[in-house]
Amino acid sequence: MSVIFRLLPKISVAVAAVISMFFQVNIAFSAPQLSPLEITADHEVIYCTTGPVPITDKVKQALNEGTPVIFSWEIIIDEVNDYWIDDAIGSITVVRQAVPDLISKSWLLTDTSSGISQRVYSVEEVIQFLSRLQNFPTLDRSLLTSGTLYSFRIKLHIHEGELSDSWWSEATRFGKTVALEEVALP
Amino acid sequence: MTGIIRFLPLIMTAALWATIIMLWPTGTPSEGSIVAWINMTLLIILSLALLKYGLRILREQKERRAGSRLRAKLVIALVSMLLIPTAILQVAGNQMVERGMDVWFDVRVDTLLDQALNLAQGFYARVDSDLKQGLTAAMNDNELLSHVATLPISYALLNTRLHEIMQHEGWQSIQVFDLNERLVANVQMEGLPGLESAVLDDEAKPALTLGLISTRLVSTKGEEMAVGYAPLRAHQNVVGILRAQVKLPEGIVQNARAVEADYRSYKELERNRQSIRGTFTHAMLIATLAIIIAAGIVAVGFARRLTSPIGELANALERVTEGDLTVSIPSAPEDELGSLVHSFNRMTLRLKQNVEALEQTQAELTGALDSSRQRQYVLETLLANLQAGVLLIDAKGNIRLLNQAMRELLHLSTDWMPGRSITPLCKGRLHLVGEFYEELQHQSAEHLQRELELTVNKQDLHILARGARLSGAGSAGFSGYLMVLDDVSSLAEAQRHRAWAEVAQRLAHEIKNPLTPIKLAAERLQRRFRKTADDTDVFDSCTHAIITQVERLQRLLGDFSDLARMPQPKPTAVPARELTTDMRELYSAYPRIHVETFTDDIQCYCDADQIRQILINLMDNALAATEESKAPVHLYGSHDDNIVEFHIQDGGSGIPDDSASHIFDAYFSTKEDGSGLGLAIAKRIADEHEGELLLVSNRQPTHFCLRLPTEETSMEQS
Repeated sequence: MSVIFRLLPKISVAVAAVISMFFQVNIAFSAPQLSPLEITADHEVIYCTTGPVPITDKVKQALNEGTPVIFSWEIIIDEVNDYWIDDAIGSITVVRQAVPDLISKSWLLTDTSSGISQRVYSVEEVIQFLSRLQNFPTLDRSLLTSGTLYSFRIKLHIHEGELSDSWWSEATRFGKTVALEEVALP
Repeated sequence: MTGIIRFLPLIMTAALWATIIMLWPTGTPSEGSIVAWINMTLLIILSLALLKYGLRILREQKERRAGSRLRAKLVIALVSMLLIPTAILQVAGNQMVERGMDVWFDVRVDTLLDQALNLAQGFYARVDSDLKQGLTAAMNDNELLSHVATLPISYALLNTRLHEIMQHEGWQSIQVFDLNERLVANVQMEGLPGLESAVLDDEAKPALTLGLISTRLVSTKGEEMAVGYAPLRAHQNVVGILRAQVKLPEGIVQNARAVEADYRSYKELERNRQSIRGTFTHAMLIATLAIIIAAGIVAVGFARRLTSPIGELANALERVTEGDLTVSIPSAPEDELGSLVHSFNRMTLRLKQNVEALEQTQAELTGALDSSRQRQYVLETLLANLQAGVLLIDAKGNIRLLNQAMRELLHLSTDWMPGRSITPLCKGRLHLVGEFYEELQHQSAEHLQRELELTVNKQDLHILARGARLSGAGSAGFSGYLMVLDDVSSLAEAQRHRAWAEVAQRLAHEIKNPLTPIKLAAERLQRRFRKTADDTDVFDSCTHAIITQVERLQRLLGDFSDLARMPQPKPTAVPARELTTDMRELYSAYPRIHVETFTDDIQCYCDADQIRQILINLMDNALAATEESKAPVHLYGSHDDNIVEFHIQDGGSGIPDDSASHIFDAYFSTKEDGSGLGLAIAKRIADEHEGELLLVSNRQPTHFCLRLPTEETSMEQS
């Protein structure tokens, strides 16, 4: 037991080193090419349009082989500070899901934020549905101030299979930033 | 082999790092990679622990720490005992998984599942095709079209026809909707419980707007149905929508969905084949690492517990070797090692007691030895400072002790040393010493005293030898002979001198008195009877001879008196230059005399009158020696811090070699009319001034040197 206590500092160092490396890897993977992000607004709502993000062959294969695919989009809005950490304004998550039906060779597309579902019979339609956000109502216009610089960051987590509600699954759901834009509303 | 064992932990560390590099997780972090990261953590911890242990082993080996080697061997052996089987298990497990993967994801399984899925898809396609074919037939059924297009609609006829079509096609239900999507007719196989308000869904839109047949699959409550829509046209115009529904057989649906689920799972597994293999490998690696770490901890603890008493014993032994006998090992396990520790403690206790006894004895002996040494030191100091020579000879005739004074007195060779027999050494000039020893040995008396005349270093020494026989209780068991030799030459010389002085004084007194009347009488004879003498020449020569010889006798007697009545010198600081200047002025009439006065203000400590007497004596001798040859005479001086020297050189005929050694003896003269006392007196004056009168060279040139001290000497102080 005393050996364990004596080795405890070294164990801590090793764990910290591995955790830091884990996040280093995460950061390294979270710097892909960004998709264009268009921010539009009317008198009441801020809209986001982005995509299409590139879909890997693995995802396409999963869709064709009957595995449900879930695209979890997280839109994070921060107020940009020059000399300090940005202030968080808000964030919204939209989950889009495609459930294949191998028997009928169709895919049931569901937008969990609106609850609308649609059955399509072409994988291109599925990809188009999953890989882009088109004029997605993001934020109430009143939350933003004219002339202030805001950053809109979109993180995307792609999950294959059924989405688990466990805390562990949610804790390890690391999205990667796919779009980033800084705008100041008129 | 020992070297390999020593470096084994470091080698294992390197192997672990190689494993870490090989197994380092790549790709996007996911839930599955957590296991890999845990493995990395464990591997890094293990490698750090091994690195530390390996370095400690090397350090302990270098420091030769007791028990470290045994401990290292034990730990390495114990860990190796577990490491090898676990490594084999790991490899075997990996191989099994690899083979299992190949079996699980066999092409035949893949093909089988594809065919099963194709079968299910074919069935559904067939149902769909049949439904479309039936709908096509129905939308072209003139009777049905006439019932729908003829107003008012005859619902009985329409339902009858619909029932006939449903019966014919084997559908479960059939409905007709008008263009406003209102249900016009509905016929179904089920009774009233299955009656539902049918609503047109989006699939009906192609039929309604484009006039096309559309079908779709509907799943409700575990049942699946194929629903189809077809336009009903009259005179090229769509007048209604026909909706038909076919319930799929439950067993087939279940099987088809099961095939689909299996196919999906299989494909998922196939896609994640690599990650499954990695997960399995990492899971096994976790178990392996956990076992190794646990085994390592247990091994270290076990080895430490086992080797700790050995290390303590070794340390204690080292301290005992260094002389610390107070060491004791307090704790010991109840086993053979404990017995060893107890034995060691008893041994050190006994050693300590013995050493204390020895130290006490040593202290006593040291005290006695110190006392003996002190006595010896006193004796040696006494002997070393004795002017007399001391020689101790044992009963066997071997030298036991002789002091430095004895060596210097007799100028003994290096053969004279303790342990040597004295008899062979006493030969030649020292034969008198041997004879004295022989006499001492063979006489009956305890003591013997003799005066010996020895020639040492070309000098005649008068030695007073005293001997004693050592034996009996007073000599502490030693028997032998003690000889003490004193140089009494100076004393004898002084005695002889005093005797001579006394004789000379008396003789001078007795002879001098009649000489004056003799001389006066001769002079009177010369004055009164010269004219009456027959032969004047003979008379003159006789009276002159009397007068001359009387005067010579008077001078001789004067010298005797001087020698007898030599006054004690009264030294003072006299400038040396003054002495040489006096000599130059005194002998200024002699051009062949060259006097160099001192240039420095050096002083000599002397009685100036007596020193002048010496210098005049030496200068007179030099003038006499060069009277015929008229060779030059030189007087010059030199000095250092302690000594002032007066040098007198002449180029006369010199002094014969055989006379040179006696030149300073009293009554020795090379001149016919010399008394032989001049140089003797000069030598004596120089000696009384603690100086020296030396004959540096006896010819070519004849060179005398008078050396005088520059400061007051101890003799003069006394």
